[in-house]
Amino acid sequence: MKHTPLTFSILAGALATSAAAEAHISAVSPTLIAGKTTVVELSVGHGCEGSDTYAITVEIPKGMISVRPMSSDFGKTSLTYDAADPALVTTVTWQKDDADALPGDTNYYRLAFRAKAPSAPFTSIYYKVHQVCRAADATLSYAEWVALPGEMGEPAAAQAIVPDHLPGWNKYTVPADIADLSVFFSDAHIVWRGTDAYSFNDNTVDLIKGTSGVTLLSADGVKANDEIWVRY
Amino acid sequence: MKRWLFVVTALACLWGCSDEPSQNTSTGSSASSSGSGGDGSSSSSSSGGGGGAGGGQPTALVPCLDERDALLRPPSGKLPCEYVPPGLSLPQ
Repeated sequence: MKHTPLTFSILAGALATSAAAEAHISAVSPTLIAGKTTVVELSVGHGCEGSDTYAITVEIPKGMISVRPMSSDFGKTSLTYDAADPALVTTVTWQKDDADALPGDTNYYRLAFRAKAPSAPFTSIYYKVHQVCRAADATLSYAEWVALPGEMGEPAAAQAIVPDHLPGWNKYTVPADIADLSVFFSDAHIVWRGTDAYSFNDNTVDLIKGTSGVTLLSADGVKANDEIWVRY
Repeated sequence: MKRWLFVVTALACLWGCSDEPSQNTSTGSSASSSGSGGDGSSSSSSSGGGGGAGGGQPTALVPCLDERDALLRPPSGKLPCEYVPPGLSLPQ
């Protein structure tokens, strides 16, 4: 088969489209620990159609407290607070000085804030993000990363809240049905409910299948009040 | 006269120096044998216990017993013991 320049152009175009589709604003860590203070880091993969990212505003989800943003390439931050509880941060905005805006969409950014996660294990938390871009001629454009699961539009950044755990064996009683174990246990070695076992790792799945007396636990197989053992 | 004193001093020193290593050697070997004895007894009592449990209880379900060299190579075929949760006995 002969590879013409056209073939390579089509292939390169497909790869570029794929990369752009992956480059959302997302949380760097897929999980955070229930009730623990942590640093939430958001990854800004690209600007808006050739324009550099100029400002980012993150809506702090309900239940997340003790928010303190970190400075970044964008310089200073500004906060808004809850009307009823002035200590509660509701949004964080990072905005560059005009002089720091780049002429094109060339850079990747990470923005971070410290916060205490809600004590709600086996749920997910969503950060709605508003992105402002600035072209070389100072024209502003906007992108909204606010869609929740099942909604149309660009997806909000998400993190799964996992229960506190230690290396080794951890035992939990699940408070509600878990629709997809991979959301909460992709970093666990193995999850057991009775003699049923689940793993995100395909090699471990093969071992589960090869062990007599053990059946494979499906990703949606854990229900409310089930007792599970998880090894990290 | 001075040469005679030097020879006597040197001989005394040699005698003293050669005495110290002999004491150290005996202490060292005693500690070493005690250590390996500890390992050996621990190992033998452990394997003896395992053998006793295995031989005395010919049941269908047995607890998962760790093998000393189990972590030296990747598991193959079935789940390694460290992946089986506490209290669960699997058919052997």
